[in-house]
Amino acid sequence: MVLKQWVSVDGVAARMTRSDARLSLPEVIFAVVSEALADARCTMDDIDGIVIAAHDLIDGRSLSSMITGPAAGAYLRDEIRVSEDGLVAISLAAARIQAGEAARVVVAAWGRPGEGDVERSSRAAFDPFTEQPLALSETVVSALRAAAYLREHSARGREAAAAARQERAAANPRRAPAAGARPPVYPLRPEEMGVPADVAAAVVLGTGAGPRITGVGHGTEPARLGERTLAALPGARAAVAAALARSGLRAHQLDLVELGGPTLFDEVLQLEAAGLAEPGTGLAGYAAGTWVNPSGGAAAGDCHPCGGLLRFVEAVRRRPGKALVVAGSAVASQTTTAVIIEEP
Amino acid sequence: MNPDDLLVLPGNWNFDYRYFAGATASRFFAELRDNRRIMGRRCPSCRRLLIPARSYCDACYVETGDWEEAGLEGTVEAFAIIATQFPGLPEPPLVIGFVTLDGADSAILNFVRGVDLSDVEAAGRRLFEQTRVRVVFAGDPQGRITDFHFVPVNQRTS
Amino acid sequence: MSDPLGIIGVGQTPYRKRNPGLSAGELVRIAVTEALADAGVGPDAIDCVIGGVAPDALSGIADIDKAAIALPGKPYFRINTGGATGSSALLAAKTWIEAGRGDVVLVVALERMGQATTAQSIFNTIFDPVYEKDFVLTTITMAALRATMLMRRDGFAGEHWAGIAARNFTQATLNPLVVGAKARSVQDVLDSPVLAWPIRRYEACPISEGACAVIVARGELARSRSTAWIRGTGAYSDTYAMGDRMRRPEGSLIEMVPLRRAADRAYREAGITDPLAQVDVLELQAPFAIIEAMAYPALGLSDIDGNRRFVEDVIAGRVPIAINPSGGAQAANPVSATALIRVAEAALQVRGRAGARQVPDARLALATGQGGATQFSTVVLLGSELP
Ligand SMILES: [Zn+2]
Repeated sequence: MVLKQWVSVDGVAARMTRSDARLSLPEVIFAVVSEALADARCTMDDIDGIVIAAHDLIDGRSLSSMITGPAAGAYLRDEIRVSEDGLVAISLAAARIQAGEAARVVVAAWGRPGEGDVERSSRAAFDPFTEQPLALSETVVSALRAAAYLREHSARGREAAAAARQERAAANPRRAPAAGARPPVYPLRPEEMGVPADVAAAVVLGTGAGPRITGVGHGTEPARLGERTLAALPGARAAVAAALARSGLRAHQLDLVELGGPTLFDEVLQLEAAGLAEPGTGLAGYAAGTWVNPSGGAAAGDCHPCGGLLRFVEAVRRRPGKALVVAGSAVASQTTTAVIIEEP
Repeated sequence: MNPDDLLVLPGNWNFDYRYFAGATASRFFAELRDNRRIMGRRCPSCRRLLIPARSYCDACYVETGDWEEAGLEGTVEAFAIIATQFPGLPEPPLVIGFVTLDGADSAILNFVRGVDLSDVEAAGRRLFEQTRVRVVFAGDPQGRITDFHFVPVNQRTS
Repeated sequence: MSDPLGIIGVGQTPYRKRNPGLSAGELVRIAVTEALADAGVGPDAIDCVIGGVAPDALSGIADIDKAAIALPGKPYFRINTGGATGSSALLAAKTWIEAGRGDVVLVVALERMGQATTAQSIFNTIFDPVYEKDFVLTTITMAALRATMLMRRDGFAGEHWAGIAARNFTQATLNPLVVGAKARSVQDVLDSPVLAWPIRRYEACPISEGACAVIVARGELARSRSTAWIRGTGAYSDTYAMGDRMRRPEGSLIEMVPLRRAADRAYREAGITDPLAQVDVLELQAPFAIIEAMAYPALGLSDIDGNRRFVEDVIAGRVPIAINPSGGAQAANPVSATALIRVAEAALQVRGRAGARQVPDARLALATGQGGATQFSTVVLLGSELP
């Protein structure tokens, strides 16, 4: 399918803090969206569409966008919200421009574990009859994936991958303020976890001279974990394949990949799903590939549903030639979005 | 339990949060608690004095500017008289009202007390006539929005 | 529009208070199976699925859509714009197709609020926790605040709200999907208990569960079927702050500014200059009679200063437009699905498939969506003829 219209990334901004009581959630959003507008050298007057990704339960406001949407510019403008990862909002915003519905769109996402425990609220997303009684959570699912991966393949490269991930996060000047990682669930280790942070990110999409979005893809797996292959991410594979096909690129042509998963193992599974490492070699590939999550991924700070937009902002800021951004969405990466960004 | 019975599983949806009000709202509450003042910030673009205080104006999408105090009397723009009890919500009857305080350009929500609610219908009609209210501060302020309420003007504090 | 879009299939469950005999996924399956059959396509024809679920708290399960709606192997995402969720999801489908991402999109909205035991206290948690939540704001008090504004401004009385409500409830008796629909008189409504003055119990929508599915398509698939063509759309959001909208120059709280702008845009796209004369059917996402009264001038059907008279004409059946032949959101308001149901009902009308509630010769129908603090508004105009 030929894209009707180029979509450019005109401006980006992201913020990571930890329980900074000086700003309310709407104020954080206003600040970050204002930064993205400044980065795009425009004002809200130039914006004719808003797409946000936010989750009511994480925001502690049962219809979050009532209060948070206007902070992102939803004031007498065409605004829509997805309750999904922020990369889905990028996809829908790009579609709005491709469809000719808007010329310049603000995309914003956020998550604030400082206000409420995201791990706890993630438990509410599991089936109350068959899964909740078994204490499933996003971290427990990541642990199940790690165990399945280690059983099916091997732990070769595990320490090196975790170390490389930590080094990349430490070298990222925009990483979350020093704070503990999420407590691991066996067999996950502390250095393989994500660092919960109060995060907000915003992107201005348009039809300008900036980096271009040349491919978008989505993949979906069954809801029930028992029906999924935990040691692989077929949904991510489908998403990346579709995005690459749209852009006309092949995986080996990519210069950079930013993966948005809650732990090292989720990131490694995405790397393999993208065709950038053979099954079972993802840990070693992650360690050796300096172009894999140069931001440090979730180790540099993360919070659903902002993870994918944070990775997107990181990818754009590194001025890639050709970059792939991948992020899973609720529940336990049942859906995955992939986006290709290319310098014009 | 019969094999044909439908399982209805009890559950709850309690998640604790700590909402960060931010510096602007925190100062609004401190002014309320310590100085018995209702403060807003004026938008440099549309010039509206936004009450309660906001750090940005979402209409103009700019940061708000100077702090200014609103009057302690105002006009009821809209009200409702809560007459039915709903699980988990305060006991009726209660009157809530959006009031534009003198000098302000936006209305603030609070309880309107001191209204005879023995006949809800009659109370509603009276509130259409009697739209002026004044602020009454709580004796024991907590730095919360409930540190004050409104009463109709020309009535004693209830 | 070079290749017009239309709705080729509609499926709905009955709407009732609760469905303890059906899982959320089973409710969705009923609606989707019916929509596919109505469209005469199989699941393979679907390029993308867009889900609609509003507050997670109403079902007590987060992301209930993932297990209930998403189809493995197809792009899927969820829209959440409160009461406008269903129509926002439909507009996202339109965006998707016009962006060239696919030709056929399945839109499914699901409400499972029968699982909530404290719905109004959940609705209290949608409001600002810092400045406003303490004041018993709920969907009901939110409607009451607007009602008192209108009563003072234009001399509306309880009889007006009751007249609108009685009309909707009575029309719902022709809609087999509204389970337990009862004809109600103005007096029945006026005799019902006051929830939050001036709102009475029978001016408010009941608790409803259910699922609605709509299939949007373009090209040959749409041209070869009985299709409700999308003739115009609009969507606008507004500030949350109700207090900021009391004396706003762009229009006050009761003027429904985003709805007016959405309607203006949709009319412009469809070439509508006199909606009262040109539109045949309205399906309004108005869960309270007062919200419906506010919508008339916003939709350009009446002048705001003459709106009381227009409302009286509506109640007396003196307007040349069919309003809520389904009974509207007042008779059944499954929050997440309600705005999609309005679109589905509008589609059934222009396709001539609305059964006992069919409006004769319905060629152009307008559906609204309304969410948040009268904050998220959508308008969808559907026609029986190609644009
Ligand atoms: Zn302003």
